Amino acid sequence: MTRFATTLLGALLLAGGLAAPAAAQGGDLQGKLDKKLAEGWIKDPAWITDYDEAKAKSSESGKLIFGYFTRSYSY
Amino acid sequence: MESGPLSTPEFKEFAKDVVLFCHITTRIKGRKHDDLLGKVGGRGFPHLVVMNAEGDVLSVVQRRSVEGFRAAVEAGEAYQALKSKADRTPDEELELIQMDLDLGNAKPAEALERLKGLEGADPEKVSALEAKLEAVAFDATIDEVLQSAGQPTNEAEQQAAIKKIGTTFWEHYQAGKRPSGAMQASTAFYSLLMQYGLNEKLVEPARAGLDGIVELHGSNPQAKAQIEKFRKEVEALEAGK
Repeated sequence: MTRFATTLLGALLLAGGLAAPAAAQGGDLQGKLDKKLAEGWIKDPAWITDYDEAKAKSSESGKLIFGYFTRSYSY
Repeated sequence: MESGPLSTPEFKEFAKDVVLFCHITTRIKGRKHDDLLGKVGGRGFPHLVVMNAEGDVLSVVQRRSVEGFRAAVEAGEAYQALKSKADRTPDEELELIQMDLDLGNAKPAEALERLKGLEGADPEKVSALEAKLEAVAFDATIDEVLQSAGQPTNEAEQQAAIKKIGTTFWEHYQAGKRPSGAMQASTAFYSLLMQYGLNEKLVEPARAGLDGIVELHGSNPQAKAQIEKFRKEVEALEAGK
């Protein structure tokens, strides 16, 4: 979609908070990732955060992958 | 999610049956797989899917509860079983085409080809899928029309672009074309249709656009104020004000 269309949609709809993508808030992206990785929920039960490792584990165990997609940049 | 369903004792039990993979989009330049969300069809956060060892998406989580996670795993297993079945019935083949399309594992053109070569499936289901494929193809047309508007640099050019795009969309609408329901294309289509109607004082496209927006976003509490504003503008136009 063009910038024009996105801008127009922004004016028409997203101003109302419909689906505005969260913008990066800048700052220390690595620090934000480290902070996310230090949270308790990610350790118990233990989540694999490396995609290739998760696929290898799935192949080895025969279990399906349960993928949870989140972000660290907006911390 | 993280302090809710993902932190419950039930989730810990569920976790024993799967490989838990947490993907974190970081926006760190050059980080491997940082764009994976888009590749698995995600458009926002959080996004939860079931995948196989090759990374193919087998199902998308619809309900954010452990019960919903289990249902997604079962749906993924059913999809995988159907995909690997050698002697699929025509109806099963049709179901697989539909699932491949929904999961983004088949492009519309490929799905259409497979559909053409299919004999003996339920005609009603075939018609429904053909209609869906037509709508998906129309989503691509919507994007092309938007691209053709280029990059207006001032208000006058923007208004001219709305008129041009709106005219085209209104012609399509009158010809019975509708977007598939995919959020981006559908929102663009109905928003521009409504704005075109408002700008040109044309009641029918304004109403059609508003109704489409309400259908798409009416259940979103965050959209309520904006939709009310649109509704008042369209109703004022209808009342001849």
